[in-house]
Amino acid sequence: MAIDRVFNSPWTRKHDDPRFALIPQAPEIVYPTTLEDLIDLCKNRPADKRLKAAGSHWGLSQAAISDNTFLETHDPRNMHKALTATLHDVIPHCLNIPFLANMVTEEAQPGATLTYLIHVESGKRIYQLYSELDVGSDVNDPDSLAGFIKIKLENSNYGGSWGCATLGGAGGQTIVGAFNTGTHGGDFDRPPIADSVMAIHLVADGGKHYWIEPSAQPPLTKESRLREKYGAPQYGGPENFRVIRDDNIFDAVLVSAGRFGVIYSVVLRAVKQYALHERRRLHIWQDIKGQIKDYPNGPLYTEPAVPNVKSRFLQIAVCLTPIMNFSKNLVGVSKRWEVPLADPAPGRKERRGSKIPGSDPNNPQFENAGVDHAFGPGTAGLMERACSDASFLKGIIDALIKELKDFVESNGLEVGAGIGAIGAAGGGGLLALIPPLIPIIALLREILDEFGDDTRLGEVLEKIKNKLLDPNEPDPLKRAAGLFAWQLFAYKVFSDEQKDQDYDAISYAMMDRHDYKNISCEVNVDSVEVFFNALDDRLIAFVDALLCYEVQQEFKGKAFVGYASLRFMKPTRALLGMQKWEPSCSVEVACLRDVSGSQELLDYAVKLALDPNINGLLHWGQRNDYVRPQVEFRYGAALIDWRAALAAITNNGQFNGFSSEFTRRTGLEVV
Amino acid sequence: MADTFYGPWHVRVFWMDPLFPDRITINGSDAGASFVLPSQEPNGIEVTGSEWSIAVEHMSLTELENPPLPPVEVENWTPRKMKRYTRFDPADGLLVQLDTVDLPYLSLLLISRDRSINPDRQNNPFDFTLPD
Repeated sequence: MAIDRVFNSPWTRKHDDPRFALIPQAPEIVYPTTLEDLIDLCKNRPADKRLKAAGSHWGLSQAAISDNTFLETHDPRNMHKALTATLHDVIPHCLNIPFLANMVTEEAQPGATLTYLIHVESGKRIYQLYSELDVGSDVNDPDSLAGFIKIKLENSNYGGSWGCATLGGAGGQTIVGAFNTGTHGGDFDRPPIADSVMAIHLVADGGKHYWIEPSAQPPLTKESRLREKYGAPQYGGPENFRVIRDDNIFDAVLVSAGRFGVIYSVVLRAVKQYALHERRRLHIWQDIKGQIKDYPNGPLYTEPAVPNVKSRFLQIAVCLTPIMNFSKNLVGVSKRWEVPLADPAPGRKERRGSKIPGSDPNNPQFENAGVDHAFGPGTAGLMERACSDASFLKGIIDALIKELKDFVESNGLEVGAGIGAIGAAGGGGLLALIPPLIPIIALLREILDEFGDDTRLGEVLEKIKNKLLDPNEPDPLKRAAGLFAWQLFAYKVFSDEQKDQDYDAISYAMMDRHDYKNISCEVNVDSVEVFFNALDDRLIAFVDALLCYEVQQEFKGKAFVGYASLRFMKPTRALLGMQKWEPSCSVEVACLRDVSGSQELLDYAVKLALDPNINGLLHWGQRNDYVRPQVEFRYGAALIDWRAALAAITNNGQFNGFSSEFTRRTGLEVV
Repeated sequence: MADTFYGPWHVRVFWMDPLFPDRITINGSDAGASFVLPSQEPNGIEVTGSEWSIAVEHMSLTELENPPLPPVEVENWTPRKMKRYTRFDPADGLLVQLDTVDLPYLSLLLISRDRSINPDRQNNPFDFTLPD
């Protein structure tokens, strides 16, 4: 069947400016649906037309941007068929019995966790993956892995529901797009998503395809079975297919920003389904930052209130707007640990729902997977809330007006919790602001009165900021009053967003915090994520530098609208993975673009991260301004090994069909 | 052991035991290799260069007890192990403190002079305080 193609069509990413397509006329966009399609595209690529695979378009870097032809594994508009099937040939029928026997024996030991294997095409979205895993495996189905293990190894323990060991904060990415750029969660007791990959089926430029596994013995699969299947004539014959069991090549392809070719499918390891409890509390950054180094037994990595649980997740959301007379910053500290999976599992119905009858058995659709609000008390982070309606802000502005009014009318005697947080004891500076606060209160009322039902959060925040902060206001007391009101407002928003919370949910409902209902929301955001050794004091210096930058901005009438968030994880085996240490810490800084003050802070964060004295590593799927020397400086010998692997697959760079402006700029090339 | 820095930094001695005159060796800076005795540069020095290193060295006990008379110079300088701390200070911005690991204690303070990562800071013009 002919491959769907469109010519000179717009191509854009989820978080780009919604008013314009990033690429108004992409020369060619193709929609392959089979392995044969991919081999054909790679084999018959015109010499002057390069290719690059894209997943869900959720990335903010240029990793998915092709020089010429865009190869879509999952059309973001869902107008073309995608590479989304769950495959049932390799798993289980090409599995190596000694590997399985080892796995089953090890997992039968006391304290061991049962794991499962699933083989999926690269365009499978994460919410689809976790839903299918959750439905579970049937020990009585001889074509399922559970049934296969029962028959071959007389072990019936592999039925039931399975889950992902870790996930990022959203499930809309394709599984390959996520791990191939280094996406991760915040589980500090395990590595990122890439380390759940067991095998990769790669199609390279020139049309050759490779089944790539690590070199561990016994191997995952039986080579003869793989060759029987993938050496067939429709895939180019036996000479066109090769099985590679090589750690260097595997670890190189794992995180490679699409440079090696197009990944057709992957085998992933899943774990027995589980539930998580999340506890979130507000703290002060300056009080807790020193505890980050107390890994793994310090209070951030454990839960003193529940001593027998083993905490696994840590997120520190930082409010960049200061409190206490510019000296402190609020943080929301979230921890998670496993709890027994209740029946019914909280979040299963809301986040997955039932299988839709009649849907493709290899890609079943679920009522609520990828279509509903996040489960639980609230959505995560400004990036999520930016798309939501701003109605929750009405309550906050109302409370803000009341607190200011009480302060003003009592001549400073009535100090609410917010004012008490923004101010600091030991002077009377805020009393001088009482007169200029009166028009501020009127201004806030106007904003409240202008609220519409469909007003977006991003718009409201920008309006409030512009009204309260005017760098050209000549009266210093008015400027001070406006800034004070802004800080109070930001405090209330953050306190609401990160307020104390305790709840349970099934694994994916806890980890995937994305609100899928707002599919029509188009938001122009920018985000950078910088990785450090969590035990290196440059991590704290980096965050403190951003906080200082924000304070200095506010002195000049600008402000950052966004958030910074720290998450922690174990190191990855991927050569170009950003998670190189135990533990690694990512600092994600995200903002609404076009909001003055936000972009400047983000630009500064990037500049600081790239400075060799600070030496942060950038996420391959978020804003990534690397140039080649910076990548060489950071990755050193690992990049040399990565390039050696690329040379092996591309005949020393001769097959450069997947080179792009991004890979050339960042040095992800054979040199 | 030498520590590496990039770009312009101000280097000064934060603390030194005057009875044990260590020297600071800087290599690779725009000024070329240089040796600084802290007592000669009490306000610190400016060091620039795309990549340069700094080391603290001490003289042998023999030479300490019987220092050579000028113009004869001390011959045996031994690098000292340093611990590096990076922090961002509200007043000075990006700082690195290099402390000797063992006694006698010496501490160097380096302040980044790169305005793109350590921009100038102004004093707080606002007063958000409340009466006690």
